[in-house]
Amino acid sequence: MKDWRFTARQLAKNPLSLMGVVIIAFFVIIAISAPLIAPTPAGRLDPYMIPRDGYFATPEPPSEEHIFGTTEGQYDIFYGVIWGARSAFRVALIVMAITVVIGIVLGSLAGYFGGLLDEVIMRITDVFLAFPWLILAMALTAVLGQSLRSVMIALVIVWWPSYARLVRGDILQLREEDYIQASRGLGASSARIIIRHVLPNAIYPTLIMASLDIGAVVLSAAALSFLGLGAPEGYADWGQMTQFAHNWIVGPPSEPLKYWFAVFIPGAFILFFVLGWNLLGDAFRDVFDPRLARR
Amino acid sequence: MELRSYIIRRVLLLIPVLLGVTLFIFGITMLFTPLERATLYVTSIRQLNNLPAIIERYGLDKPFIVQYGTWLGQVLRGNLGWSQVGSMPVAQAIPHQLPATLEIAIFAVPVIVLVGIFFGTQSAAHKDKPLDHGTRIVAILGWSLPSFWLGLILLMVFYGLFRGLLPPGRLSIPMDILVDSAAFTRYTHMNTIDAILNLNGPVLLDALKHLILPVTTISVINMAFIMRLMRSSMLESLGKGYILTARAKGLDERVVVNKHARRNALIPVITVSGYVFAGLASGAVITETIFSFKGIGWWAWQAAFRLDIPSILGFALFSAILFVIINLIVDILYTRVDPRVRLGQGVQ
Amino acid sequence: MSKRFSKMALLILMGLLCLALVAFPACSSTGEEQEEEEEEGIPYKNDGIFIQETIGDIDSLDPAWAYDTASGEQIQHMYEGLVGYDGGNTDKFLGLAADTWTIAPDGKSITFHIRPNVKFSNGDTMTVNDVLYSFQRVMVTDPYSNGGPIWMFYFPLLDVYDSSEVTPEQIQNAVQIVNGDSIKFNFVRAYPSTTFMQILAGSWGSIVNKKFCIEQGDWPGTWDNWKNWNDPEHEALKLNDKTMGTGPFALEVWNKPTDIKLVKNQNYWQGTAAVPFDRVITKYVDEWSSRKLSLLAGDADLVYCPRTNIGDLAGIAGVQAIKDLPELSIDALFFNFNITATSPYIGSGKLDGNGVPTDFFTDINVRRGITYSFNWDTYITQAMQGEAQQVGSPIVQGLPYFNPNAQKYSYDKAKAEENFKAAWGGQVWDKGFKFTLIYNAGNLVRKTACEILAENLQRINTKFQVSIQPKVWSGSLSTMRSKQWAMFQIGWLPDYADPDNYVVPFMATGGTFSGPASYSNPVVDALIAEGATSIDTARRQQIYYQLQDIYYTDVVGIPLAQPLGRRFFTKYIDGFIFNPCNSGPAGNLLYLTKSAS
Repeated sequence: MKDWRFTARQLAKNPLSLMGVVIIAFFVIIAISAPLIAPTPAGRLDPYMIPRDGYFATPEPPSEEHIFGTTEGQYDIFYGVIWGARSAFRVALIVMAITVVIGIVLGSLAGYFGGLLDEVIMRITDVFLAFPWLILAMALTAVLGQSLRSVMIALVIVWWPSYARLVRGDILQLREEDYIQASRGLGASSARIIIRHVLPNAIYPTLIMASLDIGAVVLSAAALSFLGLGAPEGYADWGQMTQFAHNWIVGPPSEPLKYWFAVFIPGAFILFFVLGWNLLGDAFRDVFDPRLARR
Repeated sequence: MELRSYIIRRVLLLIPVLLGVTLFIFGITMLFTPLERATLYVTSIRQLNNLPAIIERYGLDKPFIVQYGTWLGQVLRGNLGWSQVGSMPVAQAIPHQLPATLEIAIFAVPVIVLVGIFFGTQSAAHKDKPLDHGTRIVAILGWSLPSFWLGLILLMVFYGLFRGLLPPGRLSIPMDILVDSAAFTRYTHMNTIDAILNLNGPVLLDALKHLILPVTTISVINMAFIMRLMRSSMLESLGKGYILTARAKGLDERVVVNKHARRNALIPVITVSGYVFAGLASGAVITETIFSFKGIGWWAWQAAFRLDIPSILGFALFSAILFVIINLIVDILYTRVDPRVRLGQGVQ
Repeated sequence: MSKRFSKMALLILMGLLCLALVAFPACSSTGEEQEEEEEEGIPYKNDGIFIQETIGDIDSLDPAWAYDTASGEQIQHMYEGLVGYDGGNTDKFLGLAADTWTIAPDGKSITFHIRPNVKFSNGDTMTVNDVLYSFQRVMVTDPYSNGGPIWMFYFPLLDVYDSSEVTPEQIQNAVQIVNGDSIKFNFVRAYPSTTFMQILAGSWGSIVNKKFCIEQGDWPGTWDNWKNWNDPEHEALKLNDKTMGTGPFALEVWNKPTDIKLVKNQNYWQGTAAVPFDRVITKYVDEWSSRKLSLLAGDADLVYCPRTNIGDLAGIAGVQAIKDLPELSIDALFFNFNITATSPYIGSGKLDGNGVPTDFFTDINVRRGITYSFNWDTYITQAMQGEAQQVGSPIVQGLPYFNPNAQKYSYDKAKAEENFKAAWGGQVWDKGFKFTLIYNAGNLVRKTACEILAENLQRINTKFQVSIQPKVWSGSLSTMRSKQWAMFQIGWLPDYADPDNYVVPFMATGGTFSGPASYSNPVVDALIAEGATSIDTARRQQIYYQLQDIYYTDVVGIPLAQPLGRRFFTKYIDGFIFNPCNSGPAGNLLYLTKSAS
């Protein structure tokens, strides 16, 4: 308990982490109040499909009706980026949660029991790590169909090996600790030892890495959508909206930046969202540094 | 452990990794129906009725093991199959597509590593001063940037706003014609290197001009990562006992930092640089797409997109081999840099 | 104290940075209008070189294999066939490798006299043996497993669709040398000569250099082991990237997959003065922004512009936009008359409001109801930017026997309601339905068509729920083939400019589209069979008019529109003649000129 309070105080002191918290809070508010700030037009089945104001292709600049303008095909940018916050949180949190769980389970099994189980799991992670993640993710989304769900599955599959490795490494260190030996000597079961003693201590580095990685997960998901392998066209997803904009990078010669809003706005949302998580993650890492004197 | 036997052992370990990778990829592609896999071989809707014949011809409906076995048998005989995406055999397509990617990597890696190391070091040496804060902000921003967005913005500014100042593609038209003509000899298919070897200034300058944006896009993001890593590594190194001793002895601060602390701080950075290079060499798909630099990343993406299974498997082999070799080199370098580490000890 | 100051500085710095990121583009975009961006126009560059940037990429340069437009275009710059199109006409021909020809009155053969003194790009003189070899070679090669274009020869000549069961004798009788200087084609039955000439004008009719081909390891021209060269796989092609033709250009280098460079054929039979360019470069650039800027910078003479972006080039000095070109293509929505039971696109598979049964579309009231629910005005003005026209059937304007007065459906809510109420004994109206519409992923125009239909159906009856799903290429093809789709949208481009090439895929039993749709109408089949081989133009007109009528009354599918094409050249290019049968956007390069004036 004291530990958490100490942590919170440390976070508050650091301006960078404070900024991170503020940014994330901002996005949380946007995501939660999406139906209020960007209400779904009546009769639409899926709120994640951005409403279209007509079918013309050319993006329209910001106006009273469309605060951020419309992107290719008259999809409302404001609606898209607001609901895109929800998609972003969904992807980030679900992928990270599942990855961490898988990583912890497999990593602790490998680390604690060692031997053949360890070898097998390590070789499997070798295989996954030897392959460029983007291509792997692309092949997976191609199989599973174009949707955010496939993106999430693909990212989990790509990400879990590093976590398994990390947890395993920690466990290997911890395994030799005296108190673990003592527990074993006293006859405690492996499961009990793992859950009560090993895991709580191994979790910190994992959480740090997870918080540092969330940004990368969001960027990867956006990249996949940008390449046409993630959310379908017209879905409220920031990466997908950038995809819409890529034909409009340059406007007519007299106004080359005419369609700046279509390119800039979705990307800026991604940037700030990821920035928030990175700041937070950086701060976590600083705070959880075991060498920091605890008062 | 002797160096040579270590290398041999590591190279032998390559084989199960390769088998594993290719089995896995093959497994994924088998999740597609034979009909879907057959569509690779048709170019237009008119050939819809030929799909069953194609399935028959390429044995696409045979059991997993049979198909994998056939592929493996061919590979062992040196035949990696035909790349539809590249319109040439896979074994030729990889070296054909690689130069464009390597060219970006060759320029990006020194930039990333040197700039990252420099700023990381300075940042650590002047901890909590404005330089440190500034560097950390830039690093965090760089690390949070979506690469495709950065690329698009750069294009928007340098190609659109400043009319054609830095165009996409690898060469401008007159240079492009020149390099394909008899007046120019191709050695490596990397325009910059070939230009130097041909003693051709204009081509060199043109190639460099076209490299600026892709290299910048890739560097900004990776550089941030190295900066942060170097900084924390330096901080750790600077906190060590021998540094205190060196300072107590009255050594100049700069010598302390550059000569002593940095050497040890470099270790994790070397590891990561290796991975960065491996990652770049296997192709930055997005950069290659946005800047029309059709290298191996673009090729692999098209292959994944179009279900060009021979190409995907060929690419899997290539990148797995690359990864393992880079790993090996990094591990060996490790022992050179840190005498405490012996060969065979794991890298944590 | 200094620590806090640094932290303040930090926060201020970050705030400024954010502001800058937001303010800069906003400033620039308003500043742009006032900036004196002098309209310098497009500079003239690369004299004597024609450069085009487009999307896609070449499959193969082998005339026996290539069936896609990118390959076809390049083949037709380097090779020539017996005849070519005269200007923009699809039914008038110029002799190329042939100088004169005679059509037998019974329609069962055509004889072409071979033009003397035509040279290949390496200086070899083209002889009648090369011509014979060219046609026999494609018939021998015939990659029918993959689905090549050679069925177009096999059908008229031997009444089969591939070489799987032909004998050398049959091939030798189909194409023969007569009088030592002419080539004669013998058809199994009478065949319309214009159609056959159109086929000859395609890339598959290219004349190759026999000696060169044999040197590359291609079919030696003898019949003992001819099956060794029959139905090859792609990697076995000897002419995949090696060419030797009589066309105005020759291959300089094919940089797969980036670009292809051709040089002027110094031995061209019409004389090098007739060839307007020393070099032709085609670059395959996927990004529209790059292509656009190349055009504006004068680095490209022609670029492919996607329909959504035609406004980008409007009113720009130096850009020559040629519009309203009557392309012979058509986009349509199709009904599946016999959906596979396991389809994921039909919901519950029953007429209970949560799906559709597998034979849902067999009720003509359903089809009519859906057709009346499509709004062509919205589609054409908004999705197609006004550059399309509605047609009543797959036979589009520009094809012979197109009926300008053919009946067409239009958006009519009342009629749609009426038909739905009558559908399936009133159940459709009461219970509603649910199914998924599929379109090609990445194609916004097609997606829009689906959305228009889905929304209109919803407005007619809220129980009509149509969801839309994108499918990547591999997925669409396999879904079509496995007949799992409920409704699908796709387009067609001509193999040759004859209505036969359109009615077969759309209406014949087992046609490219009608096959997966399980549409089968014996009256239609009989008419198609007759029309394909009739040489009586009056009778053919009757037949195709009747087929257009049947498409309307039987509501076989919903024709969306015949798009009107556009070309974007710089102002320095002149002489473009549009011919819908040209594979490439630039058309026949011999008509073009490039000059600074």
